[in-house]
Amino acid sequence: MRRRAPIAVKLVSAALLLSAGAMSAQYMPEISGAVGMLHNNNYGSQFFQPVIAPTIAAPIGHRVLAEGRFDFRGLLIQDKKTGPYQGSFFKATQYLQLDVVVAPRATFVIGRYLTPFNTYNERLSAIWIQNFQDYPLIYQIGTRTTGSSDGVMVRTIPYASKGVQLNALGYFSVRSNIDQFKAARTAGTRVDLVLPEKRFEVGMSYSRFLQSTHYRAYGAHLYWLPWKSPLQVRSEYAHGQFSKGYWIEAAYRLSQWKGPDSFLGRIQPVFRFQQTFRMKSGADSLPAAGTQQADFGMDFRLPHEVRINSSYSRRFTSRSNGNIWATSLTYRFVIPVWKERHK
Amino acid sequence: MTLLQQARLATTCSLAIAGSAMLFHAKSVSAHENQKPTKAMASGLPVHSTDPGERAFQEQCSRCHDAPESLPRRVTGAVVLHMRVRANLTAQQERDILTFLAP
Repeated sequence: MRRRAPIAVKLVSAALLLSAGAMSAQYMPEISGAVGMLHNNNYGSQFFQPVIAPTIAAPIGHRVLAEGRFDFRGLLIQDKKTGPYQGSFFKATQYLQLDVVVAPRATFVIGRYLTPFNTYNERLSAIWIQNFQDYPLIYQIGTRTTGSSDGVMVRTIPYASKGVQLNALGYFSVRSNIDQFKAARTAGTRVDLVLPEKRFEVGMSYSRFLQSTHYRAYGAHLYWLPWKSPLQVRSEYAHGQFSKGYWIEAAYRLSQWKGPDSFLGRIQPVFRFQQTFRMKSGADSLPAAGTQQADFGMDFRLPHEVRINSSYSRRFTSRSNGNIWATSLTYRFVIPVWKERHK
Repeated sequence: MTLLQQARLATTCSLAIAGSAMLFHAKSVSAHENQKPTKAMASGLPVHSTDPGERAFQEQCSRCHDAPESLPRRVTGAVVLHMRVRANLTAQQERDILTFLAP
């Protein structure tokens, strides 16, 4: 029997062909992303994850962009903590979308996109960006079921001046059970208030889950990166049907003394504190009991876009306490798809 | 193919791709076309700049990630168009950042 190419492969091929036809200087399609090896010791259970996470961006002219991000990873987990390793393999289409700039301050998005509830999922979840290997405990609130949505999204900038920028977006997703495109029927919105000159941002998110039991989720986020300091502060709060919680993260790159390319300047200590509260029992992937977790991390930015992240976390719950150790090695790459045309 | 074989295959592929990509990277870094958009980070600290593109980069892009070590000139348009959508950049900010990344 003849095997058919997956729909994601067909869509990417079509986008690249269209892009090749409309290619201009600087707007060449690119493949970027990262490869990595992740190790995690969670309460004594060891597992390794080799990961390939490519992204593809294919501009079609200067106002249309076809883009996608995929995740291929193996999971090698030790059986009963001391036994042989068992392996499994996962692949995911995280987004595969068409962006159309319809006005100077408005973009229309159609396809599969990262659910824009709070900001972690959209902005910080890529393995070459995240400061900690583990997602925040509240990540699942507002991003059910897969972190991706299938449908349409409108992103606008209702107001922008030198000192203030207001961003607003709205989205609607249909329910899908297609392999690689699984999504829930959801609608939501997010509003961000940005003070660019202060490098400060606050925002609020709202989403409504529209299949099976209908319920709402609320969220808020805050970013602050002061000038003349390598300090970064980020925080999010989320309130779901069964649980609520928050995380706050501070990172400080030691680049002040001898510059970012020195041995010391490549080190970035990171600290994150998280807390979740269980309001009633239910399946939402958050801890079953109230939890506090302190994460201590150290990131090393090596030359040639290689990064080592390491962290130790201590989790406290009313049922048990435990340690989580994580180490990851990632390499970030950007490769133009076509060769440059020489004149 | 068993799950363990699939996981081994994924490991082998990721290491092979990492090696190839690093070789490609090392080769392309020496090419004259690569831009090094790290003027703003030369001191290791985010500082106010008079260059509107550098300033827009510090104000918008750096909220989530650092500048890449290098970026091939021919893909800067694709990268900035992606960021225009993801980071809600205005058309003016997109132009300024594009000029900053590939003058």
